[in-house]
This record gives sequence, structure tokens and C-alpha cells, in this order.
Amino acid sequence: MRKFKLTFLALLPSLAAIAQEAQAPAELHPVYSNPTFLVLAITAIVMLAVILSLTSTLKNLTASKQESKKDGPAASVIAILVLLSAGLPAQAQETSSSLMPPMSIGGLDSWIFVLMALLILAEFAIILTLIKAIRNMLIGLGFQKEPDVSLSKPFINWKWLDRQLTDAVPLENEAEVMTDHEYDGIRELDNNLPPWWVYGFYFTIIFGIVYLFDYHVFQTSPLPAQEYQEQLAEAELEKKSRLKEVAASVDESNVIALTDAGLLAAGKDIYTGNCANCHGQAGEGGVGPNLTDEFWLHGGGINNVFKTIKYGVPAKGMIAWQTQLNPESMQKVASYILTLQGTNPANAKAPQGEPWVEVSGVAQTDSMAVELIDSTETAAIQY
Amino acid sequence: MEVERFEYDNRTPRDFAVASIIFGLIGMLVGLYVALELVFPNLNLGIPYTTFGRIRPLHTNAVIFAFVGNGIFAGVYYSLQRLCKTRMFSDKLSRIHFWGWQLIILAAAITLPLGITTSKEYAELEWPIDIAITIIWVIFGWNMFGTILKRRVQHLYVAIWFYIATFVTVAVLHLVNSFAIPVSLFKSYSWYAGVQDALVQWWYGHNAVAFFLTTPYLGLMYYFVPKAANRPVYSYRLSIIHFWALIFLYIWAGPHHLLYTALPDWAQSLGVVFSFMLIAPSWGGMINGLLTLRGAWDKVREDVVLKFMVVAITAYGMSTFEGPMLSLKNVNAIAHFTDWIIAHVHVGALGWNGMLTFGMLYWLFPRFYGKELFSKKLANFHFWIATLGIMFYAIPLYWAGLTQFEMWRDFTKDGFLQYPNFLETVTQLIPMYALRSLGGTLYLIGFFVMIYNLWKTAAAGSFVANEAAEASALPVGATPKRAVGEHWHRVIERRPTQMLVLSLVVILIGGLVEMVPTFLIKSNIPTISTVQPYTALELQGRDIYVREGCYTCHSQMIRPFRFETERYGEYSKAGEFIYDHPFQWGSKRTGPDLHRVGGKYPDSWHYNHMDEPSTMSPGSIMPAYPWLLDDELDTASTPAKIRAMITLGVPYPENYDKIANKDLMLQANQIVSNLKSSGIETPPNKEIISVIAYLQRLGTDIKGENKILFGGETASTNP
Repeated sequence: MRKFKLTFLALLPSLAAIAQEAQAPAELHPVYSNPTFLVLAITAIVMLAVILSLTSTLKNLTASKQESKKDGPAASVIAILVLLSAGLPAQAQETSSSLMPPMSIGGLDSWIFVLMALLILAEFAIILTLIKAIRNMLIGLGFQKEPDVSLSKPFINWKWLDRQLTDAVPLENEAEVMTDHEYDGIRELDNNLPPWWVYGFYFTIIFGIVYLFDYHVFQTSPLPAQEYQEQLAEAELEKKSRLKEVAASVDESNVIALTDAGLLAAGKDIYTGNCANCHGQAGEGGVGPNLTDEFWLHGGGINNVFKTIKYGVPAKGMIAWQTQLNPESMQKVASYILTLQGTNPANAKAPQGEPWVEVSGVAQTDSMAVELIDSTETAAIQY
Repeated sequence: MEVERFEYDNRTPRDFAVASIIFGLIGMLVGLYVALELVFPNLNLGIPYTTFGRIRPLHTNAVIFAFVGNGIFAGVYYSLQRLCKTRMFSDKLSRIHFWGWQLIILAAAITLPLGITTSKEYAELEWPIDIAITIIWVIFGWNMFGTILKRRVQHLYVAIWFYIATFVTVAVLHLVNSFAIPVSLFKSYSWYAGVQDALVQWWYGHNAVAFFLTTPYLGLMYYFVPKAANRPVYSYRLSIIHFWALIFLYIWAGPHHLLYTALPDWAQSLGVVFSFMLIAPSWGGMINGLLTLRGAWDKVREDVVLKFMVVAITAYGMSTFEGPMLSLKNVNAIAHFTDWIIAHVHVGALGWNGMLTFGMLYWLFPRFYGKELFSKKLANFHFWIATLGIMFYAIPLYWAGLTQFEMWRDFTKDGFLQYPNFLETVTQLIPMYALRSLGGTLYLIGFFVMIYNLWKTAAAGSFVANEAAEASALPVGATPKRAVGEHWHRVIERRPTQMLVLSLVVILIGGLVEMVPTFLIKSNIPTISTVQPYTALELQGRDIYVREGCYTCHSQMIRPFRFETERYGEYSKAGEFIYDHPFQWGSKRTGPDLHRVGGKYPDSWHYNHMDEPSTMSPGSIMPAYPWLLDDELDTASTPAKIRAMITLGVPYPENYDKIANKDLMLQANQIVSNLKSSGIETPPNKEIISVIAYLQRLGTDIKGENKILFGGETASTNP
């Protein structure tokens, strides 16, 4: 038995290591490199280890003293479970304001902070409980003197609390509420309903009624479709104020090809992450056309390439990237693509489209009709 | 009164217990296997029968209906006889029930990996098996009611109320949800379409949780907890209130699985408020279980059976608090489609159902074999490792769920999605998936230890197949009227038939109020004039989508959130699904939503992606589907499928079934020529062609650009 316990303890650090290792190759979400988070996480793990070792001590003590009156590890596990469960919904409520910009505490999203804090708090409570249980056990075994109870009032009056919470008949008077029911030796008491439970039930019913009136009779809270429109309006406002900040933004009419090596390298990263799947790592083509030859389906030159990237060619499966890349990024990747001209990579796809000749800096216009794709405007549905 | 002697049948509950153990082991092993497939996508070894989409339903069905199902029957057959002081009504029916149920499980284990599925979650089994389930369920009810009617105890104990409610409600749920039109022996189409199908399915799905995983187990709790603790049940009046409130409220809660979907708003709101009200009745059960242990907590420390039961009841309390919280709209917006839900159901399944089953088994085996449990130490070890396993399972997935949601909804300051590539949000979770598998492994280790322990116990003792008992017969004559001062509920407790009817009435109300208007009032599903039926090729492709269980990882339901419409396109409308028999909204997004994938990528992208997903999406954990490229499409089934759809009201032209395959080949050849222009050579009769056709059609009708002809005619679009 002891051996098994030790294995658990040994398992913990190695688990953390596994988790770390497994995470390494994936791109890290900022949270994992946040110092506040790391401190909290390490604290939580260390405390968990303490809990496990205390539990095993307590367990051994229990084994050596069978008649102890204190609740053993079973109770502590329940405590862990209950506390954890109490933490989760609380943290969920915290997140429920999700559609607003997240608050940040110590560089962490507030919900993560709250979650971690709750976890640590829960672990702290468990450790206290365990220490208390061990102390009592030691007293029971005669290793430690029992404090004089008559002098100090207990911190929490459990009997009083029990009565308040359950409104139950005390155990010694149980006969008063014993019914005459008997089934295969099972008897039934007829204790009162716990008051908090009754009032909780009333509360949920009232909540339900208010909820239905709120949404469907008075219509004071927005139903999903209206909520969505509000989100869009809010985003639109944000976008406008942002545009003011950025001043003149790059578009297909004023874009120029970048030549700075750093910006082109950034363009290459965008290309590898988003374009290479269809156009090949070296631009040789694949599902999409070859980007290294002088032939273009929708016009060459920075203006046309930028335009094709921005609006896509939905009919042929080219995505409109304007919803995923900002104008500067599209400029970078378009500029990078133009540097691929004439590189002659291996496995190049056969030429498609027309050869493109740059007319002394004047952009030719392509005959392609650009269809503006705006997800908010496709909703013209006849009901 | 004369004392009668009789014998309890221990063989049936023992057999069910053994079956629960065997299938529990298999179900959990399959669970671990599918969990590992999310970490190592090639673990299916490249064969269809072991691919995630096909065996994830095997895992859920095995755990729910084989592990827990057999657990229910073991407990019911054991406790019912003793609570009624009589042997089961008919040994023959007990045998038929036992073997019938095991054959159904066997049929499930064969058909699901073969891709024979209805795709309705937890009701995936095809129509012949559904009929078998109905028959066996009736036999169970007949046997149970026969036993109740010949009882030697005047009143029905609370455990039996729960058994009765379970029997009637599961019967109603199964019959209504399984309603389908057969196309062949192994294929049927749901009678309902789109929004209505979704409503029926989740009315069923949620109440499978309620009336298969909860009410029967509450019944078992009411028998085994007082027995093991040797304490009286805490409160009779709490039993009454929480029983009736629970079965009445539960049935309304289904729509909370469909918040922010195309389900009518009023139905969603009903789902929210009734789920919220469920906290109290659920906790009533928890309180009555835990407070029964008042004055017996010192026993809990020593008795491993009670330890298991205490954790089970606590897990029950946790998940029934979490459930209503998850039903609140703003919490649901976060958790839906993420791993949070997977964590939530496993706290219920591993904690509540698993731990209670283990407690019950440790209590039953020594009594079956007249021998003390072989090793208390091993049982304690099982308890600890299982508890730890649950935590290691649940916590990483809670974490994963929240992480995924955060990544889905994050926008940059410029108003772009922070993580526009869905794959980023998936690879982020792989470490969590690995940790979760570890939790599952711990839980399984405990399960093995239990098997060894019970085996040794059984081997040391000798099986008591028939246990002698005695009791006096009930007085002959009319059932007594209410005596002065007697609790009113006692009257119902001596009238089992009335109790059955009353339960039926109580559970029908919620379902009727939600379903009848959704089916009858047209404004609930506004039609969209440009939405047309699937072409024959698309229909065939859709059936392959169903066969492969794509819905286990991909949703087809874009919710009205900016972060979803920005990623996937316009949010899904009720009128878009009117020809979807069955609906494919899904409940989990391990992969991205597919409702508007149509036209997003070229045909060749899909071809390459199905052959090896990582070529198009490096790092993808989607399994490869090379067999779609090799296997030939079964076009012989087209006419029967079209006829079935016409019967269901899909407006294909008259006699279209006779010429549908001609259209099918035209469309297939078009796709083949598209592929050819990208350098891919394939004959038109491969399954992949139909899958591409279906995927390219998804979500595009709403744009009003699709010109679809059926044998040269346009379909009448006014169904």
C-alpha cells in the first residue's frame, strides 16, 4: 500500500515534465510563459504534493489507530472534490462577461488568475484540514497533549451550524421522526427539509419566471440575434476608432512593393504559415497555381497580387484573406511573393494564365470582377 | 398471518454484474484508445474500423448501455426482490432479458465499427437493433412489474419509484427518438429533419443522462447506501419532493444542448430555466444520500463500500450543480463545443456511475459468494487510484475547454481573429489530451485491481444461486384507503399501476410543450426560398459523412457570435436544415465547424486532405481517410434513398428515383474534371467524389447562386 502511495508522489513531478515536454513543439499560448502564471502553477503543484504526502501520513496513522473518531482521507478527498467543484462554476461566472475585453491581473486574463487563486485557496484549506486531522490523531495516539477544550470555545460551533443547515432532529432524538416504514431492513426517518434547500428551490423557480418574462414578455434582455447585432456594432465602432489611429491604411490602389529584408522575412513567415499548403513551400504551386513564373491568372505586380490576396477568388477556392490578415501583413506577403519570380523551384506546376509585363510602374488593371465578401452582408434572407 | 418461504434469484443479478464488469472494461479500454488517438492520430493503424469517428460512439454506447446498463439491471434485480420480498416474476423472462441485452451490446460492438450508424448521439444503433432494444426493454418492464404486483410488502420503497420512472421514460424516449424510415437492413433516415431532429435528439440525449444514468442509480443509492451504512434514510418527505420534482423538471432540459443554435428562442429559454430549477431536486437526492450517513461517518473511514458511495454522491452533487450552470446562456457560450463538456460528463460517468457501481459490486460479491471480500487493501487502492484518475481526467479537460474558447474568441486590436487558423487552437490542447489519457489509465488500473479482487473473492467462496428467505403474504382484499393521519403519498405507494401512469403523465408534459409547437407552427422554422434538396451524389456523400462519424469532431452549426461568423461565415439559420435527415449539428469541435465549408477550398484540396490531412494542414490530428479514395460508391442504393426522402417530404420530382443515378454521374464527372485540372487522376465512381460533392454544397444555398436541376427540372421548393 505504502509503495503505491510513493509511486503517486513520484509520478507528480514526472507528469509535469511530460506536460512540459509535450507542449514544447506546439506554439505556446502566451499564458504558459507568463511569470505570474508560472509562480501560481508551481505553488499549486507543490501544495498538491504536500497534500498527498500529508494524506499518506494520515493514512498510516489511521492504520495504526483504528478507533480514531476523526474523518480520514476519505473526507479529505471529498473536500478536494467539493472545493474544486466550488471553484469551477465561480470561475465560469467570472468568464461569463467574456464578450467584453478580458480584464488582466498581473498580465494574466483575470479568469485564469481567479481559477489559480481558487485552486491554491482550496489546497490551502485542505492542508489546514489535514494538519488538524494529523494533530488530533497524534493526540489520540498519545504523542501529543490534548489542549484543554473547556477553556477555549471552538472556532466553529458545528452543532449549531448543522442545525441551521439541515433543521434535522438531533441523532439522539431520532426516534421522534422515525416512520413505521420498513423495507428489507431499511427504515425511513422523516426529517424536515433543509431550509437552505427549500429557499434555494424557491429562488430557482423565481429566477426561471423572471428569466422568461425578461426575455420573452418585456424583452428587456437581447435574444441571440439581437445580441449578435450589438456585438457587430460594437466591433464596428472599435474598428473605426482604430482606423483613425492607424491613419491612412494600405489598400490595392496605393500599395507598393517592400524591399526591406526584415519586412520581406516577415512576409516569408506569413507565406509559410498560410499560403505554402496550396502554393508550395517555394511557391512552386500545388492545389493553387505556381507563383514563381511570369504567368498570372489574376494579374501580376504588387497591386494585383495584393488585391487577389485581399479579396480572394472564392470560385476557385482562393480564400479572401482580408478577414485574417491586416493590410500591412498582406503587403508584406505580397511583396515576398514577388521576390519569388524566376526562382525556378523543383516540381514547378505548369504555367497558368497570361504572362505579365510591368509597364513602368503603372499598374494594369485586371478584368477580374472583385466581389466584396462581407460576412455581415450575406444575410439577405427571405423569411 | 402465515409465513411463506421462498428463494431470491441471485443468478440474474450476478450475471448482470459480471457483464457490467466485462463490458465496463471493454468500454473504458476503447475510451482510452480513442483518447490516445487525439494525441497520436495514426493510432487507428490506417483502418476504417478503428478510426475515431466510428469507435467514439462505441465507447459512449459501451459505457452507457453496457457498463452502466448492466449495472442498473444487476442492482435492480438484486434490490427489487428484497424490497418486494418475493422472487422475480419469471426466471424465464430474466434469462431472456439478460441474454437479449448482451446480444444487443454485441450487435452494437459489431455494427458501430462497420460504420452502421444513425449518427444520433447515444442512439447510434440502426433500426433492427432499435427494435430489439424495444422488445427487451418491454420484457424488463414486464418482469419488473410482475414482481411488483406479486410483492409481499404493501408499499413501494423510494428506490422502486425511481425504477418505475426509469422504465416508462426510457421507453418513451427510445420510441420517439428512434422513429426512422428504413432504406435497407442497415440504413435508415431519421423521420425528423434539421431543427426538429435536433430538438428530439437532445430531448432524448439529455434524458438518457437523466433516466438511464441518473434515476436508476438514485434508486440503487436508496437501496445500497442505507444497507451498507445500516442507517435509516434521512428524510421521507425529501424523497417524495425530490423524486417528483426531478422527473418532472428533467424532461424539459434538453434544449440547453442547443443554446445559440437555430432552435427557436422560446424553446432555448425553456431549456435554460428548467435546467436551472433542476439544481434543487438533484441536490435533494445528494442530501438524502449524504445525510443518511449522519452518525455513520466513522464507518465511512473503514468501509470501502461507503467510501465509493460517498465519492459517487459527491460527484453527483458536483455535476448536477455544474450542469445547470452550464445551461446558463453566457456560460454555455464558453463551454459548448469545447472539452469542458467532456470533463463534465466524465465527472458524472466516472464519479457518479463508476464509483457507485464499484461500491455496489464490492457489496454484492461477498454476499453472492458467502465470503468476505478477498482484500480490503486492494479495494482501498482501487478507491484512491480511481479518485485520482477522475481528477487527472477532469482538470486537464476543464483547462483545455477554457483555453480553446479563449483562443476561438480572441481578436487582435485591428479586429482580426487572433488565431485565424483553427488548427492552432487544437495543437495547443494536445498536452491536455495526453494528461487526460493518463487520468483514464489510472482509473483503468483501479478497474483491473477490482476485477482481480472480485475474482479472488468469488473463487474462495461458493455461489449462492438461490437465497432462502421468508415473509408473510399480503392480506387479501382491496388496497386500503388512506388512514387517518397517514401521509397522502402512502396511498400512491401501494398502487403501483397508478404510480406508473402518474409518472408517465408527469414526464410527458415537458416534451409535449416543447415539441408540439416546434413541429406544428411554421414560424418556428422560417423557410428560405433558395434552400434546395441535396443532389443524389451529395446525398450519398452525406451518408458517408454520417458513416464515418464526422459529427463526433465537426459541428455544422455556426452560432451568432462575431468570433464565429468571422471565422466560418454567416451564422446558421433554421431554414437551412429542412432536408437534413438526420441533422448533423454535432456537439463537439475537435475540428472546425463545417456548415459553410462549401466552396471554401478547391476540390483538389479536399481530395488531398482526405488522403492525408497533414499535407494540407500540417500538424492536424485528423485521421487520414485513404479508403474513401479506393472504395467504390454504392450507387445501387440511390433509388431507395431517393424514395425514402420523397416519403419524408423532400420535394424531388416524381419518379426521380429512376433517373437520379444519371444526375449523380454527371456531377461526379464534373468533379473528376476539376480534379484533373489540378493534376489528380481518379475514376468518378469513388466514394471520395461524393464526399467532395457534399462538402462543397454545405452552407452555400443561402447565397442563392446554386442552380440545381433534378433530371432537368428544378425542385419545388415549397415543402
